[in-house]
Amino acid sequence: MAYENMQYEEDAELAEGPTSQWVTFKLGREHYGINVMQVQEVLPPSEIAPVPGAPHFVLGIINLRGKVVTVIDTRLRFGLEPREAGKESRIIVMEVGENIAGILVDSVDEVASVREAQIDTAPNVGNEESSRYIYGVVSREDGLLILVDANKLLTEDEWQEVAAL
Amino acid sequence: MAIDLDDDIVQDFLVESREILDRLGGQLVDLEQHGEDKDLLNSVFRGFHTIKGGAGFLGLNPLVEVCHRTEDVFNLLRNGEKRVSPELMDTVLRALDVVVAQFGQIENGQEPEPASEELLGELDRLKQPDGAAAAESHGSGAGDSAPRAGAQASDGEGTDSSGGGEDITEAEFDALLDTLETESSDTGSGSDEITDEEFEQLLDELHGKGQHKGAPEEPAAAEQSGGDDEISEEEFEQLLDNLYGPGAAPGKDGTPPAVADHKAGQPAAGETPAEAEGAGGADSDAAAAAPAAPKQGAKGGGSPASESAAAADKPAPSAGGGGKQPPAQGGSGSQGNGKGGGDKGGDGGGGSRVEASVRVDTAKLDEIMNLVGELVLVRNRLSNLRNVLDDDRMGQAVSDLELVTSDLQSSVMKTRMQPIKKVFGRFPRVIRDLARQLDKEVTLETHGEETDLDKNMVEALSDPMVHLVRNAVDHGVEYPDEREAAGKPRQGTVTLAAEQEGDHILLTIADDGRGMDADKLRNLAVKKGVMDQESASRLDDKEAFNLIFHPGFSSKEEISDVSGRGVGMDVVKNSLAKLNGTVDIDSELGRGTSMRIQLPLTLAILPTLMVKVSGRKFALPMSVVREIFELQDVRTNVVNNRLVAIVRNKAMPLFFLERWLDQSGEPVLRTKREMAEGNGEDEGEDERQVITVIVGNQAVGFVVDEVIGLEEVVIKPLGALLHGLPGLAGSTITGDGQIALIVDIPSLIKAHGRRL
Repeated sequence: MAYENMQYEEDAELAEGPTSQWVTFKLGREHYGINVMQVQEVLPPSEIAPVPGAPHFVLGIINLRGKVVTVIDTRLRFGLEPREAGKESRIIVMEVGENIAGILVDSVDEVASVREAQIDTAPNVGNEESSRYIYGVVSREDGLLILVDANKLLTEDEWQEVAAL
Repeated sequence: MAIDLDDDIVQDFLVESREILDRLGGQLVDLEQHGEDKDLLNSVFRGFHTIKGGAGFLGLNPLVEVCHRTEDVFNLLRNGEKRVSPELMDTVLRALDVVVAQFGQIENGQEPEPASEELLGELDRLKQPDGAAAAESHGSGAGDSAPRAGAQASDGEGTDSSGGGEDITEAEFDALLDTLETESSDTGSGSDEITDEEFEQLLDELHGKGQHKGAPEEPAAAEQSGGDDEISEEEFEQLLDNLYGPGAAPGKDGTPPAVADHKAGQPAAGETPAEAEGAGGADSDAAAAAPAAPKQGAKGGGSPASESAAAADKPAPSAGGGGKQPPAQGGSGSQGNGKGGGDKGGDGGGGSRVEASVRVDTAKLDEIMNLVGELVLVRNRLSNLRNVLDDDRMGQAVSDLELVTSDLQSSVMKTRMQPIKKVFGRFPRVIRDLARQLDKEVTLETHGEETDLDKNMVEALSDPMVHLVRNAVDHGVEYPDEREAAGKPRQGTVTLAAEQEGDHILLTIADDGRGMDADKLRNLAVKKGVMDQESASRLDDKEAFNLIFHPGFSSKEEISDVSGRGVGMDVVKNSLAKLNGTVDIDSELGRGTSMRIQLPLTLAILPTLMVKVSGRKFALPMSVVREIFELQDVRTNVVNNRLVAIVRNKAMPLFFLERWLDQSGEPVLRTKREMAEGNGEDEGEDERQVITVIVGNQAVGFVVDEVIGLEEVVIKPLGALLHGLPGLAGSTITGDGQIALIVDIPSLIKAHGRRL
């Protein structure tokens, strides 16, 4: 019977496809999502200490319980106008490989379940700058959810950028 | 065979062997002075032997080839059939270098490259004893036979006469394991135990010191085989043959059975205690004689029957301790003279000493260190709170916490400490090689080898130290004839000393050579265009000596391959500066030179001067800070578009930290500052402070808004995104939970100096 159950669940999976969970946040007018597995925690913005000589999109560093975490201005990263952190602003602390970094976003909404089958490859949303970090898009009732690839957000290009300094 | 670096056995082998190799380097140089020292010879022999054993087990044949031959050479040496000569040592040291290089390759996951034919051939030539061939002595066997024969039997080496000299190859090992397995299934006991036991034993050999835990299976196995009496003499012999190659065979064939047993037994007792014990329980003569043999040696003979009873008692305790007992010890005992072997082996096995140390991954230590660092930060915050809350009980608790954390911090720090011996250890070799290469006579004296230093520091110190020592030998110590003419002993002395002075370490590298000529240095400086005649002649002697730390400054007339490429000393100085250390030279013409290096005890905690610039905190490493004064107290001028302060009649360039911060986009009170600079003198109330720091050989001033004070900070590395930014050494969290950036002054000036 256990076998039958399993069979049933598998069938269900086949019908709906595997799902994944995404933390959704807002930047400007767009909704973005970041895989929940890569999110460590969400913080209200605390004092961010700027770091002289850092790449332009790095806001600075924060003290996260004794750990020093780099915070990135996602607006700048995505080619949006920079904006002062407001009441709704949050820092999403992400773990990418061995690195921990925070991204400052306008607001954090929810954790959404997304079926893999629903994810489309990205049309050219926004501009060149942002499309590099996009994993895919999901069309939902309340609009388009843009899924961000955290790995790309924090690595590769940055390395080059840092190296070029 | 691919080497699996993740395999624990491989890792253990590498770690243990590294230690042995480190030791061997020093021992070999010692040996050149004390060629007759039996203990030393034995120890070197065992070192190579242990590495060979492990390498054979892992199928690292190129390694085995070199170690095996070297081991053979030392076998002759320690048996007095050969004498230590400088030429021999050259070859052996080269062999050691090859082995070290091979280990480097293995650690990188590569197959070790085989040693050159030439080296192997040379070692083979050295394998010939100085005296007669070994054939006869080999046959005689027994406790009173030429030690060499016994030794070789017990090492399991073939001799030339027995047509042996074969490495234990992987195939042989497999065969051995197969044999073992068949044997044990013959006896009906679990074949797993036997192989495991064999395995344990091999591990023991790998480990040498027996860090490996005693195998729980061992007693069981001993019991089992003890209960069975199926192992026949032939089988046992075959087993030994398999294990040791044909080397043991001649003894067996050419001598009366008792002697054969004795000889067969020796290797078993010396090298494979587990096996000997396992077999010891069996009733067959050969097997019984195996554990008995060493005892026989001890008593100068004895009937196998009576011994077999004793042997039956032995296995249990010695098997229990088998894991702890250094197998090599037993081996050496039985090789030196028949007597010692059994006793030592027995003692070692019976008195299972408790292992008092554990091996800990340094990453784990770093983690603990980190956590302690965080605890310190929390403590700092609590003590800040205490002042706010003003509650007695709270105050008491916080004081206690302060004490405990301080103790904890220093304890953890101590676990990371290593004696500086680790660095000093390589110098006997360095000096010896150099002296031979340069035809000089140099001895090395070391003091304070036990001085402890942070592990990272020990590693980082190695290269600069080597450079300084090479310099001392190459530039400092004169040629023997020169020395004699100057009325000094022909042999020069290089002294390495370490001592703890408060919270830092003082290292001295001194030679009694020709010393440095300040005038010559001044002239050279002018010639090389480092400075003009005028300023060169104004340098006092000490400053002149310091010229050698200038990039591109080499006082040696021509370039030798030892030192003198002119890239040396400034690199040394920089790498020491990276460790927050300083170098100081003292020299007397004709009497020698001494370099004094000052280093902090640890890199994990950094004493800093906290300052405030534009409302933000920065930490300047104390090691470079010289003095603090107020900007308005000194006369300032503008030279070459830079504000310069005149301190004690010397001009010192001033740097403004806030302009560094500017680029991050934050507007600072730029206009006022610019005005201040433009006017050369500040007309208003400028209470800003100037901190004098030493960068290279120059003093420069940093202008800051406020000096907060001394604070010991735990360095927190910046994340990957910010790693390696010029001017930043890291960050730290202050007592009030804020973040302060730690400024790396040399790189800051290098990268941003023009704009500051």
